[in-house]
Amino acid sequence: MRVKMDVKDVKEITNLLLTLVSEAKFEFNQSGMSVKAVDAAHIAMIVLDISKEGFIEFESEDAEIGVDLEKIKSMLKIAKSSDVVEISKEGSKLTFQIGNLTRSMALIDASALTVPKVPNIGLPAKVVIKRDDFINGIKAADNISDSITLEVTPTEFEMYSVGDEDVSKLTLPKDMVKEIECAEPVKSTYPLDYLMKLAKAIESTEYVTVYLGKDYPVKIVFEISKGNGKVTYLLAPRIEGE
Amino acid sequence: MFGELCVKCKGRLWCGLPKCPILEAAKNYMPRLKINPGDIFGLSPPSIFVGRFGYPNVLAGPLVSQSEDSSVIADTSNLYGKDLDFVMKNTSSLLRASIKVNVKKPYGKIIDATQEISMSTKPLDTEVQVEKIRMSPSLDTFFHPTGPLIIPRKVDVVDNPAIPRKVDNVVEERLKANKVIIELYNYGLSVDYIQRILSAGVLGFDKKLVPTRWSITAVDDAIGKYLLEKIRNYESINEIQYYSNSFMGNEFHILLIPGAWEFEMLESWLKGAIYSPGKTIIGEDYEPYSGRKKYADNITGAYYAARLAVEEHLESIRRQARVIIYREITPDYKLPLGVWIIRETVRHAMFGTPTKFDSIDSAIEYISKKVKVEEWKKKSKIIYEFKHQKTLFDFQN
Repeated sequence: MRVKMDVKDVKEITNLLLTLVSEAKFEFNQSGMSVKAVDAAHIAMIVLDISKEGFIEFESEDAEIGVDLEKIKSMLKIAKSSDVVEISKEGSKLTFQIGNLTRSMALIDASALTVPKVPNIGLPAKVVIKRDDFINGIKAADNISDSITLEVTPTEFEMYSVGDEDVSKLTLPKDMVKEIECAEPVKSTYPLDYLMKLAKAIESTEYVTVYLGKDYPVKIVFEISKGNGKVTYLLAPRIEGE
Repeated sequence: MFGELCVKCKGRLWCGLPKCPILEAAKNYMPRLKINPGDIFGLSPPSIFVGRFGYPNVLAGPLVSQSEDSSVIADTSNLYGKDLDFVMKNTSSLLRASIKVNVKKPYGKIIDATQEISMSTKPLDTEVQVEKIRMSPSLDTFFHPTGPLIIPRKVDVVDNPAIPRKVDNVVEERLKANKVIIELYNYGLSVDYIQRILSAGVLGFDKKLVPTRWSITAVDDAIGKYLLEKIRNYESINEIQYYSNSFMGNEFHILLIPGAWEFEMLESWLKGAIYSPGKTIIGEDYEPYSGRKKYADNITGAYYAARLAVEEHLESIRRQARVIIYREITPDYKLPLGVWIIRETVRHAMFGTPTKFDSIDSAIEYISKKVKVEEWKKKSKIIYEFKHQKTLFDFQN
C-alpha cells in the first residue's frame, strides 16, 4: 500500500475519527479506502468512504491497517496544511513521508479492532444546510445545556438548547437552506458534547445534510477530500422526561 | 461556618483559619499518650511522614513507636476490620520524628535514615535523640492519625532494613516515577509501601520528597490509570450488580452497570458526621470512558482510592463496567482516619457476592431502602444518562 494525500485531508480524517475513538481500522481496496468507528458507549458512529480520486496518488490491494490516531495527529502537527504526505505500509510498519521528513510507526493488530455494524436507519426528514450554519447552531449551545434539539418542519430547520435560565436557538427558514424535505414536523434531542466535537472537526465541506426523525438517531452526511469522500455520522438521541 | 466548604476542603484550611476547628475538635477522641522522658528506643513499623505545610520547606521524618511491640501496624490493609480503639491506639502511638527540610534537597543523616526506613519491608529498631516534643497528635484526612511531633537531634536505624531487590534496582535506574510505581505494583508491593517510598524521595528523576497526602493520591491515581488501560479492552459485564460494605461509619453502595467504563463517586456527609456537623451534604465526581484530567475536587483522595479498589476487581475478572460508588458517612465516623479506609472497605466490598438485578430501576429501588439520603440517585450523572441517553444498539434491528 502506498498513497499520497494532502495533509489537510489527512488531518480532517484523523480529527473526525478522534471525536469517537483513539484507534481505528482503515480498510483499503483497489477503488479506495473506508473506515467505520463507534465510540465505546455506542452512542455515535462514523463511517468514512473515500474513493481513490480523493488521493493524489493511490496504489493498493486489499489491506486492513490498524492505526493509533493520536500518533498520526501528533505527527501531522509538524506539517503545513499545504504539504503532501506519502503513506506507505511495509510489513507491520506504517511510514509517513512529508518532504524530507519520514516517520514510521508500528501498526496495531487490525484483527483486535472490531468494525461496527452500521444500523439501517430510515429517517423521514432531510435538510441540507451550510456547514457554517450547522457549526454555529451547535457552538451557540455551549454552556447552556448538555443537550441540543434539532427540529425540521416543512417550512424551517431549528437547532436549540434550553438551560435552566438561558436559551440558544438557530432558525433557518426554508429560503435559507439549500434543500428541505419534510412531510410533518419531527424533532429529536442529542448530547451536545458529541456534536461539539464533531463541529470542531468538520472543516472542508460546504454543506451538511441532516436526516432526522422523531426521538430517533440523527444522520449527518457531508463531503471530505474535495468531494471524493463521504462521511456519515450517526448519533443516538436523548429521551427527555423523568 | 461549617458547610459545603468543609466537606470539600477536608482540613486544607480554605476557611483561612490558622487551624481546622473540625480536626482540632476531633483530636479530643485521640488517646493522650504518655511519653517517657529522654531518648526513644522503639520500632518504626516501618513508616514515615512528609508534611505539606510550608511547602517546599516541610517537616519530614520517620514514625517511631515507643514500645518495642512489633505488632504495630505498618500496612493500613491490616487495619481493616479492627475497631476504632485499636486503630487509634496503634496509629496515635507512633511518634512523628520530623525535621524541616526542602523537598528538593532531601539530604542529611535524618533524611537518609528516613529513606532507609521507607524502603524496608520489616520493622526497624530505631533510636531517636529528642530535641523537643510537641504534645498535640496529628490528624490528616488522607493519612492515618499519628502521635505527637518530635524534633529529633539524631535518628539512628540500629537494624538492617529488608529492602526487596526489585526496589534496589529501580532506585538505581532513575526511571520516571510513574513507571516505577507500576513496576513495583506488578511486582506485588502494597500501595502503602509504594506510597511510602514515593514520598521519601527515592524514586524518579529528581528524587524529591513528596508530601504524604499527595503521594497517596499520586499512587492511587497512577495505578488506577494503568489498570484502566487494560480494563478498557475487556468485555463488559452482562448484568447489573450491586455490592456493599460498611466500616467505621462509612457505608458503601456500589453499582456496576453493563457498558463501557465510566466511574462516578457520590458522597453524603450525614448531619453530625465529621465534616458536616450542621447538615447533610452531597458531593459528586465523575469520569467518562476517556478518564479524567482534572483533580476530583469534590470527593478528593477518596475518589482515587475507591476507583483503584473497583479497578482491581474488574481487572481480576477481566471485565469492564459503568461504576457508581455511593458512600454515606454517618456520625459514627468521628475523626478522619485516612483514605485507606475507603480503599480497604471498597476492596472488601468487591470480595463479596453481588446482588443481581434485571433493571436499573429495581436496583435503585433496592438501594433506596438501604440508604439514608434519597437524593444521591438524582445527583448521579451515570443514572441520568442511563435513563435518558439511547445508544445505537437500541435502533439496531
